[in-house]
Amino acid sequence: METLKRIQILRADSNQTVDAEIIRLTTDVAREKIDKVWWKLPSVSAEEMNDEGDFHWDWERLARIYSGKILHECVAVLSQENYLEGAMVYQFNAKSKLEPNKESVYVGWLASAPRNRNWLVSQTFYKGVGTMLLYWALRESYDAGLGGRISLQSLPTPSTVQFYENKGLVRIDLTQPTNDLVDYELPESAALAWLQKQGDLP
Amino acid sequence: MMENKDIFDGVIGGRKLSKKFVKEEILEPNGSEPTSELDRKLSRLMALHPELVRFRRSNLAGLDEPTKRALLEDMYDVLGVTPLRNE
Repeated sequence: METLKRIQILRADSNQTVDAEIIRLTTDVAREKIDKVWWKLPSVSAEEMNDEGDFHWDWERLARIYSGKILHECVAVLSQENYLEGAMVYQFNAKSKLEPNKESVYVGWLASAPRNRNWLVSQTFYKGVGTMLLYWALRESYDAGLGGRISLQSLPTPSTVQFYENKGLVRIDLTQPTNDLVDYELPESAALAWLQKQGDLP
Repeated sequence: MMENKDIFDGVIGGRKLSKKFVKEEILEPNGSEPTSELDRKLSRLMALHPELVRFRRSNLAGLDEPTKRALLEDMYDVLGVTPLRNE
């Protein structure tokens, strides 16, 4: 597996950070380490799985379509247990909805592994993997000269809205129905603030 | 240390970007897949900012690594991108 960056992630049981890697997701890895593995959770019922928005996502197919391109990326977080703790697909040629003459990175698919969702399992393995992936998309946007702008579509559940507001993501259209995916964007100013807070920019 | 308000472990998206929000003038480059991260980064910058390389070689083949690094620095300079720490 191709390592893109060494990172640290937070163990849920001890609150200790441990080493992990952001890797490029290939079709084989997506099939063997996500599609065949993630939903094998004995304590989670079929109904609970069906309620998860990504239960039917086919990561192998996504990797087949989007990996190996310049304007798309498929990545995942690999833990020391050789388990993929989250994955993401994003693209670089999206229009910014806040600044239509500029581009943003569009996060099309992002998911933490089901075993890391505290509403599904009683003891999760890692915390904040989704945050790490979103931050990676921000870094990629900045590195590509797009100012760190990222756009995404998400269900506006209370917990996600709280997280987005905390990070400075802006809801684009307040008239969009909240029972469907809603457009959000991280503007350049909030992206730069996040990069500075992480110590990646002076 | 990550604070609770910074923790996100959910799901985002699940939908292909609508065509009306794709910058159609930015095209996936033709040719073989880059063989290094540096090549990938340069190819991406050239695709996203074609005005930068209008008078330069758009083909990376034949350039040695120091030249590619210098090209990247030039591009960052023009774009106002400060290289990120913790690379």
